[in-house]
Amino acid sequence: MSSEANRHARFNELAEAYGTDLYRYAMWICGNDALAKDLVQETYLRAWKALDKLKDPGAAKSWLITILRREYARTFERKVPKFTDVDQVEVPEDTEPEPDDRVEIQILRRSIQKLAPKYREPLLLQVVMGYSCKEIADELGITKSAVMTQLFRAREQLTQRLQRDGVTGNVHELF
Amino acid sequence: MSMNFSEFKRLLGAEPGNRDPEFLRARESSPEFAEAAAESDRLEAQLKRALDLPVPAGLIDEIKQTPQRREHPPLRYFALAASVLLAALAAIAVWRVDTGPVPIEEYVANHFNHDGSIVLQRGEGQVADNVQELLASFDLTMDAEAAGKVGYMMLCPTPEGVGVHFMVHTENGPVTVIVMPETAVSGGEHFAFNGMHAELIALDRGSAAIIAPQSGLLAGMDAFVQQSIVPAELGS
Repeated sequence: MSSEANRHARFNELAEAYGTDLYRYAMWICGNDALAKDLVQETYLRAWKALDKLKDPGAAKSWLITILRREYARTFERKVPKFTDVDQVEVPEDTEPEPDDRVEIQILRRSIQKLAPKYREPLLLQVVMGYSCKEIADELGITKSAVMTQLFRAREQLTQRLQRDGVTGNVHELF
Repeated sequence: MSMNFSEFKRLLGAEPGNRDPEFLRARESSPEFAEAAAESDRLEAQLKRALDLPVPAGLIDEIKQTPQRREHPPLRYFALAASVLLAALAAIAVWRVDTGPVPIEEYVANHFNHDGSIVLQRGEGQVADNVQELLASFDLTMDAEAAGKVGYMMLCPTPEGVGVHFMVHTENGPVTVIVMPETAVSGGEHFAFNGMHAELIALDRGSAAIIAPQSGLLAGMDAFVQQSIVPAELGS
């Protein structure tokens, strides 16, 4: 395989491995479908240009998420957009057979949007991107202990909102 | 020493997927711990489903096409734009302390100074293929003939949220338009900055700024923008 073909193959692997999660992450931080797609495209464009600098394939995920977060900060350093599209995403009935589940998921989505960024972002990195607390700490430039506190607070707030909105179950007793 | 319940709940809330042997043992150490772990598992499953937003069809294929997309302007343009933005932000920060919110004219000038040249350059000789997609984000649409004159369009920050920034090919040269769906203006205001001429116009939804290097290029553009960009429900 030629070096150029090899480069394309490596790039395609990155697209398939992380494209979906990066889009979801982008949607949650910017709340707009078109902007999320644009952020992901821009992330991969930059990744393509700098692909030769990625020596360790195991570092690809954090490399991409760092590019995306920088791109987002660069685009919206003056103004954080309002959430729009996430709130309009319906939970499809075929994947959520229980109406109570659908309601709970919609409440969770609204609650996640309302989380302060310092709580929301570690949660996204952990649940959407599969980061460990150590990896989140490295990405955000804070201590692992601070990350754990923010993750605990994030779940605590989500649980409290579920309880306040009348979702049944015992989740409120967790925290 | 075994983990106490308080410490266990803290770990459940911070890292429920933790595979540490002590934590895993604690999950089954008593009915109280097991019940908390089961509730945590249920919350995590719902959280995962809530965060698992649908992904647009064809996204991965679009990403794979990235290397074929046209190259962006050289980095020096970004560096120049960034330095201009930093200077503008610093000026705005100082200015805001004394005078409150930035007027719309100030925003337009700073915005254009930041990336106006990049948008013009990206649109040169091009026809944008994302016009309706981006405008649909704001429940707006543009008639097909007008959309065919747009060379490049991108999302951009506006004083009240998000808008679109695009360049239009005209017979006399390119003209820049910034649509601000959530910003109201009375319309008709003309102003100049850094050798550019601009006009603010009211739209059915929000407003727009039209920017060109000569004031003559602005003539007729207000009607073009007002008539071609309309709420989606009014579009054909």
